[in-house]
Amino acid sequence: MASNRAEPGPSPSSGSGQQRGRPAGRPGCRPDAAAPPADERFGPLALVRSAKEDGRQLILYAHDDREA
Amino acid sequence: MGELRFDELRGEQVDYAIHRQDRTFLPTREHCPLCPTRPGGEPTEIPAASYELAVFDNRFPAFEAPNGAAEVVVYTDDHDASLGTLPARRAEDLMWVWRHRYRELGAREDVDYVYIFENRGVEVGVTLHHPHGQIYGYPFLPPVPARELEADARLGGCAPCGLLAREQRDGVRVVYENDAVVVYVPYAARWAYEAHVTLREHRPSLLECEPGELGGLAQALQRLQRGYDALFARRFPYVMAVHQAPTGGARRDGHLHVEFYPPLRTAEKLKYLAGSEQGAGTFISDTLPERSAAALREAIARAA
Repeated sequence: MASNRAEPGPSPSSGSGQQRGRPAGRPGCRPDAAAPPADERFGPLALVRSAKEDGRQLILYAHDDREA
Repeated sequence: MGELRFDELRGEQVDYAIHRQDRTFLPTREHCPLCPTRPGGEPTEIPAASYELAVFDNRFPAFEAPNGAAEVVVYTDDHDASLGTLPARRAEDLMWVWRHRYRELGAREDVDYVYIFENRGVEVGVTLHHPHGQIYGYPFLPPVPARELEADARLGGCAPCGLLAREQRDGVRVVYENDAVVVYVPYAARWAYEAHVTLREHRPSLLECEPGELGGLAQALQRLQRGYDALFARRFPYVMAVHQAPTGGARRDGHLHVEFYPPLRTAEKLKYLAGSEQGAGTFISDTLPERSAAALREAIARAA
């Protein structure tokens, strides 16, 4: 059956997903969604991802008017 | 790890997340886990001295991988702000954060429905006052969005499109509109001051919105919240529910809209879900939507 998944995020370039609670390659999860790059842009936002000590993901978003 | 049990009598899933019993409950502002981590201060969930918007995995998740997700969305590092008082650009950025999380969580095989929501006020069970919302990634399609899809089938097309056209035709329940969205108290509102914020164009989700529509949506949400607070000159509690297309099926059915369920029926009185609502599933309301809409429309104009 065709999937209605929202389109995946940008392809990973410098993955930091391995350090998080949702590692790349977790069964049942698309690799694109699980291994994001450490520093990204999305629309007018700049994203910085990090992992907490217990593995939970934290994403900080900041407005950035510069062109991607 | 939680456990899902299926209630055969109701035909609904029930989620048991017993670890949530010990979650942080109304801490003092000095111990707010969503405030920035001040230099030399107690570490919070966000290890930064300041920030704009933050998303993190809920420490006490109702759902977690590989059976869904639960995230916290923090709107600002200002403990005393609210969605309605954010700078307009920050509110618009929040729409982009929502869009980002919808895209990323919706891409996961263990998430069938991405549900963005905000509980505001102790009246609806909020446990942290710092301005924030939440996102649940359900590993199944929950009953309310499922019923909306059933309405599409029953009405022979997109139900929100049809209902929006009716509200625009009637006009009396519309409380605010801009180029992107229309805000109205629905014809069959269950809560006295229930409001729906509906995209004019048929957009299944935030992903299909033009940037200008995200700005219009943010503006409408802010105007509505400020109007709510002006209505009874008090902080107005509500549940805000963002409804979008499911991500787990084969079709992109759905029409992005945001529903507000405020429990207040007067400045001092709450609407409780009692015998008829809980036992029979039928809301009994003592306020006509047209009358509520007139008061809310005036409050929104006053709070502009």
